[in-house]
Amino acid sequence: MRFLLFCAIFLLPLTAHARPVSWPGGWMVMLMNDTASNGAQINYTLTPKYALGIQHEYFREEKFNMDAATLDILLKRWNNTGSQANLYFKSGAGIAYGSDDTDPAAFAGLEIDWEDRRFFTLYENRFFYAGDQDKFIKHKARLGVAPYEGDYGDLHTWIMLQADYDAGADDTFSLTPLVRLFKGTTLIEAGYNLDGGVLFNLTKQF
Amino acid sequence: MKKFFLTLAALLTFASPAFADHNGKTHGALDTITVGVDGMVCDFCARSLEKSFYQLENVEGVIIDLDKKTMALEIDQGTQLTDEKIKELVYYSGYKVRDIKR
Repeated sequence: MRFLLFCAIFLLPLTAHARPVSWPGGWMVMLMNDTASNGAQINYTLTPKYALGIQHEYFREEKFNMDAATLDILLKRWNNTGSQANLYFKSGAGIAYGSDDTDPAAFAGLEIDWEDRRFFTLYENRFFYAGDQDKFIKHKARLGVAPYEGDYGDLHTWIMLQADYDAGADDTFSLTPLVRLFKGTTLIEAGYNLDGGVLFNLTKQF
Repeated sequence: MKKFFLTLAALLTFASPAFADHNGKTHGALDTITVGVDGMVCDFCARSLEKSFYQLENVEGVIIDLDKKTMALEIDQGTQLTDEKIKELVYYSGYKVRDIKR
């Protein structure tokens, strides 16, 4: 249980690698795999500020699934000449179901990020409720640095360190070094948790 | 012989001042508008600019320069693309116009 709670932190936050709101009419497909769970999300950006989606996740250790409709809102964006920052509200509601029980499920949280072409920072929290299946409050922070500044269309590389905190878990704090690669409309992240878990995510924009 | 005529046709097509693009649309000379875009720091995210501007019929090229934070728009000569429309599409793509040079 403790392990699951600790690892579950990776699931929902990982849907946020690529910004959850893209451009009006844009589709995004995300696949998330980590030590605790497997997930997939498809979302559609309605306006510059709103995106709707559907999300499925399977928590391997506790053996329950969650299906949810998601709503992501860009609350504020700061565009500067050499940098950009964003504040998002992310949420979802649906059902969580295991072999025996089905419970209502919901989650919500805020994400704030800042980046220029060399550095990236992010903080995110998430409140998750799934009845008897699970419930948690988690926090995540990321720092990233790009070893080079690629031109438009090049393969871009980021080295990142992710810290996760869950006061309700036995292992309250965790660090995950990871590499983010993207080219064109495809983004991949791969990392190795210092506690032994593997992280792999794929995002594709259409 | 057939190959010869195909090659000749291709040469004549591209040598002429007017040519057909990948959509089969024929157009001639292009005008360039350079747009300074604030917030354009990420290749993955800047794809939105291409998606938005290529929806316009008279836009034939969208050239992103992350170093200069600019976007060069190539439009069919003689056609219009107003500053207001550019600002609207840049906003819809998630960015802010810094300046527009024609």
